[in-house]
Amino acid sequence: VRQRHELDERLAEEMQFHIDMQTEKNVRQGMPRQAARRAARLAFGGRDVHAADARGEARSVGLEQAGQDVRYAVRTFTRARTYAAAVVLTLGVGLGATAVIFSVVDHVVLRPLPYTDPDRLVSVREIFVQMATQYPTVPANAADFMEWRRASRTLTGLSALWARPMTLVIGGSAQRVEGARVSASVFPLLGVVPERGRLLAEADDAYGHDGVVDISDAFWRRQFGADPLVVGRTVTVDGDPCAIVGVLPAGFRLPSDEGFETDRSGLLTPDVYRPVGFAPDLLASEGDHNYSVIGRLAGGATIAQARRELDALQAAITARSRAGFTLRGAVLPLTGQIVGRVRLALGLLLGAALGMLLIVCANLANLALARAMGRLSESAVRLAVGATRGRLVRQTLTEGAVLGVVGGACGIAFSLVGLPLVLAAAPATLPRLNEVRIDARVLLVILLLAIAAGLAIGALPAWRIARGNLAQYLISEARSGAGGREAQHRRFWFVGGEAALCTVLLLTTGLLLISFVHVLHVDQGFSADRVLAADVALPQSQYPSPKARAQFYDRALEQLAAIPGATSTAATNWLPLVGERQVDMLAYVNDARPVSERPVANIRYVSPGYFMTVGTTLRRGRLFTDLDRSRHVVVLSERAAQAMWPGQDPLGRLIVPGSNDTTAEVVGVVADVHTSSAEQEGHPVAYLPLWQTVAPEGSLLVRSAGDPARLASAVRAVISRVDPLVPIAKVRTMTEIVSAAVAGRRFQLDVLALFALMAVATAAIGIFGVIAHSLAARRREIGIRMALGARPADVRLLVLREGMTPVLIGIAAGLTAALLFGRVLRSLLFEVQSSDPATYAIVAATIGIVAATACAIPAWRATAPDPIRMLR
Amino acid sequence: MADDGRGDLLQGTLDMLVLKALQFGAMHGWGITQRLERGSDHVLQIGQGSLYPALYRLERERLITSAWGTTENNRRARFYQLTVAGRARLSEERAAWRRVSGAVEMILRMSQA
Repeated sequence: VRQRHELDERLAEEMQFHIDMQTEKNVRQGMPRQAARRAARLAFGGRDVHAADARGEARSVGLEQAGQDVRYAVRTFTRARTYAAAVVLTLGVGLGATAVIFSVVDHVVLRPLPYTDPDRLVSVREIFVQMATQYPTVPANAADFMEWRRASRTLTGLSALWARPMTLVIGGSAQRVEGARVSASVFPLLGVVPERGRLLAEADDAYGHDGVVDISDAFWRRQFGADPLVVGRTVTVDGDPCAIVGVLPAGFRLPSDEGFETDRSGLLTPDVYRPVGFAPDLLASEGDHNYSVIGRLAGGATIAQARRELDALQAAITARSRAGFTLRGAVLPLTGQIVGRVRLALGLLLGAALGMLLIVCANLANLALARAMGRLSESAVRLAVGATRGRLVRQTLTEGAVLGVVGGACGIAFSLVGLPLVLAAAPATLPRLNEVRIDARVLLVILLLAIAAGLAIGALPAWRIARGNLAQYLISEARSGAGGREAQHRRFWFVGGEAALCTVLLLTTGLLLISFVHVLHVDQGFSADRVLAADVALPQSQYPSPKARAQFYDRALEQLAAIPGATSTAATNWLPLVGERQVDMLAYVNDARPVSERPVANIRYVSPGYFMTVGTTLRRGRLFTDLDRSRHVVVLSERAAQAMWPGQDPLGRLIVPGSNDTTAEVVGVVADVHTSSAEQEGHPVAYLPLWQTVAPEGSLLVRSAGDPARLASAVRAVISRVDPLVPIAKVRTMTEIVSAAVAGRRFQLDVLALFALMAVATAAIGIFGVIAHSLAARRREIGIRMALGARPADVRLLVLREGMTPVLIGIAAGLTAALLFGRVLRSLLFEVQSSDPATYAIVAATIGIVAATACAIPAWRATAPDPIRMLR
Repeated sequence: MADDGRGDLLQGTLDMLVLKALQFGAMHGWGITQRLERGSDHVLQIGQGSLYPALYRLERERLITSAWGTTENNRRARFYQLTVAGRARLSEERAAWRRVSGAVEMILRMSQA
């Protein structure tokens, strides 16, 4: 460093001497002193540049030189502010968008689950071989679970859990909270240490000893104001007094895949954890499958071994079973169960972000090259006065890296703004969403991407400088304009590559857009507009009997009907589109078939007004009336009727719906509804009159003449007027339920469309810039052509043809790539082929038109003014 | 990349001119530019920015040496002086230059004919 300092001083002194001498000379020639000095400085020229070159000559290459290159780059950009700002902002937008998507993908999919040794955690589900086409796997039965727990050698810590809303009474007021019944072993399994008090213990699991709960940190703060004396307090949970024994650590989440549909899996945040407390009748029941079961592979055991062992255990259970189902076991990695379903969808978004970033970088590299060409004479001079070629290359790369790093910082700033917006739009079904943030890992990846992008931007001009004789290039470039062969090749790859990338992105977006539109137009079997649903839960203590519960519903329905604007009202135990519930077998009277061969249906209880309120069409027969209170009647969905009596009239026939052994007469057939997914057709449903088994939990429905959301407060008021102790879990419109069912698709489409539009716009600007630049360099050629008699139209056609050839080849390449790799999209598409010809045609046409416009504007400009003027 | 630009005609020429200017004794940078400009009847304008890198490079190649000295006006300045190697290089460059310029001249005459 000392050496370097001396060198600088010597250089400065020599330069000063030189300028002084020049000044003296200027004065001698008659200039005023001040002007003379200024002129001397001017004659000296870019002092920075030359000083940097001179120093570079005298010293060996080192780290110091890198620092010097950076300072030189920064100086360069303070002079070319517009250019630098354009690059930094464009790169910032690209990197920011990538950072946002990467942080989502990283936290949701890539990171291990926040538990001890998460890779050894598994989810265990059951397979009914006879029902596997309808339900590939189902949650576990309590008795089967107990058997696995007792006998399994390959799985340890097996724990059952069932998340469901609970009614909590604290100090006289009732509320619905998210809760979970869990095996006490789940906490040590996941590595949980209590924040206060103790965890649930094995002894608490037993029926009758389950009057204890752990509560979440959030609930402790929200409900008890973080009261340090909360442990030991007693609350009423679902009618039973329970002692709070502990508070779980903040941020703990419970993994669950208990649904009949795996897309309802996720990480839950229940507020109340109560031991499973399997009741004797539950352990005796073969048909109840409600529990999500998780465990850990025992030391040395593999998933395949666990599967074999579980199948053997299931075979033994099958042999003892009365129902005749063949049972098998499914042992699945827990991580895959929780995040597997979103992996492809999120991967696609990340791919789109990177594609857009690639287009941005290509544009910027091209811009940097154009700028470097503009500075070629500077480079040639610097080479001439002794800078080495390596030095210039290094400096060009450094300029790119500096832009990249500043662009990266800008991108991080953008991502901090953008991430909350994206998270707000993300569907609630996306697991682990609350973990997503811009953290050190995301920053590191973005920084690396930024440097890579910066080097990529610098690489093209650097390569240009490194290659061959600059002076010669200057001459040839000047002579042939941008029509030189090398420039032509570059333009071809640039324009063609961007067109191909845009085609793939736009095509993917188009296919998903069509899928989304198709999903929106699927007949869900009900009409969601103008229906409000309020979920209620009748406390067991006040409403011990079906009769008491029926009275509540009667009174509530009566008062709801009186709300101004309500056109019809109804009650049901379970809404469409929110999942499978009470899946059971339908049987004939004296059905000879084994249970395993009987059709499966959802059993639902509805009031007479239900079908009219939700807008499910009657196909045959009649709906329920008030007179059906004590009659054993049933209304089947079309699919249920078809399953029972294919091709025959089901009206008047007798059926045994579910395991309650009561015979009912089929009085009507209604349209099928989607039971759990907006996309997949619903399962068969058998509707029974509400009064026959009034469940404590259900929904009240109101169809309104206007916006149903406006009735929300009136509905709440009615319910609390009928009974202030009945907690209302949720009030929402059916439209919201449908929106929630398609939220994942909408999110994916929105993000993808945003990227595709940004990509197309960026590419259009890039193509425009390239064509305009090439035309500017060919002014002379165009002038000559026109002077020789070419009409402007001919010249435009020539330009268009030159510009559009790579575009068309790029589109073709993009379409081919999409055709070859489109099948990976298949699982994300809905009622559209990945090779849909119409989409291909529209996308190709769109990109063609956009690119043609980007070529045409500069072509028009180039041919518009007087050609003679251009010749000069 | 291996080519550090030494082959460029322009640069080689400047090196030769600098060596030539120093042939008859030590000189500071300013003096060199003045001598070259005067000697070429002001056809060659030597950019200071080209001169010093060339001087530093020649010094690194040990074709010239430098030391602080005093000008006739009593100012401190760095004086450059040819080394033995520099003298040898000058005559090589001169011979090469004659060869090349002769060749160019020949071509020019040919195309006139």
